[in-house]
Amino acid sequence: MVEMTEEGAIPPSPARPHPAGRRLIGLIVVLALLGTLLGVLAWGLQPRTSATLLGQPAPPFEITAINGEFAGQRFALADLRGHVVVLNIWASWCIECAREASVLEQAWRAYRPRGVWFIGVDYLDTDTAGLAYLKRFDITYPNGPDIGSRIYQAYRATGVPETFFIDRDGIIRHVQIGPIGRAQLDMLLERLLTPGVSQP
Amino acid sequence: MRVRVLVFLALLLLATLGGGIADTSAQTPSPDDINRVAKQLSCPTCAGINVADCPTETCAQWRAKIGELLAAGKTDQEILEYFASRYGDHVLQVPPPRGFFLGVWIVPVLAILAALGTFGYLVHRWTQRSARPETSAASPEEVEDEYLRRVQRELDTWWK
Repeated sequence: MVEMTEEGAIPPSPARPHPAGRRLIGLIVVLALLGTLLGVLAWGLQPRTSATLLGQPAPPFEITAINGEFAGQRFALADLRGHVVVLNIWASWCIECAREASVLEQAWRAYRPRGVWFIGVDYLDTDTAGLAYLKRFDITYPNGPDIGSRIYQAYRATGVPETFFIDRDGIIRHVQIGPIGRAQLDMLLERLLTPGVSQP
Repeated sequence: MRVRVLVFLALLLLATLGGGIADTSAQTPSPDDINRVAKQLSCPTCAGINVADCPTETCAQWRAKIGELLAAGKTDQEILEYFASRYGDHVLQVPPPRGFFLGVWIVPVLAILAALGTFGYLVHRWTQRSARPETSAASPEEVEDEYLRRVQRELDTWWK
């Protein structure tokens, strides 16, 4: 039994948070910081390649053509709705792009009457080098520079060349990483042009 | 008098020619001029290499473009802005304080402020502790826990 005498009475301690309470607050702060760090890490580690866009609506884009009959004309994906679109990202310094340049041009000439639009996006090029490349391969479908590398980033491209096959509803149905051959191109386009079949 | 006039005219002619030569050299950028700007740009297709040191075709084209722009009388800053708007801010060696790259400038400042704040708080706590008067380990003032306080009271009663 404790006797509470006047002498034995302990003066009340000043109002301070309980140590356990302070520890709890500290723990919450540390956990919140760790959670934020892990969240940022998880976001950063998410796969962001072009292949993840398969079956997704194609990100909107807009280019101003620099070549041939289309020079100066503006092309936006939204205006091409209802058409099959082949979006090819290339660069004049890319050796693999040169391998497929003629194939794409031949296919454009073959499929243009059937309403297919080929759009070339010149990535990280100077205008002089880009135009020289277009002239060298006699490319006539609309091509324009990727201003600010925005299209490359929006399509999560991992390099050049990359080609995106977009159906009439604006959905990406095939992503070609690296150069494409004529047989594969024909097969993909025929599937996309067949009514009721959109999945190549 | 005629000699003086002739000398004056000759000097004038030399000065004009000299100026002309100087103007011509300003319009034809040297490799050093090109590299000065190229060093402020990152190779877009490699990692960690500036455009001046990069051997790729892309960077050769970019150096040629820098030469063109310098010859057209553009300043270094104007050329850097051209490349940033044409290819994206990521091509600049020093990220601009805008958009996504704003964080690169803000986060270190916030981290330094947070570190200084924490350090100041800790120093404040340490100095307060050391400034407290020396008391015995069992001093009731030191005891905050109710249970320990009661134990202290019991002990005090026993020793009386």
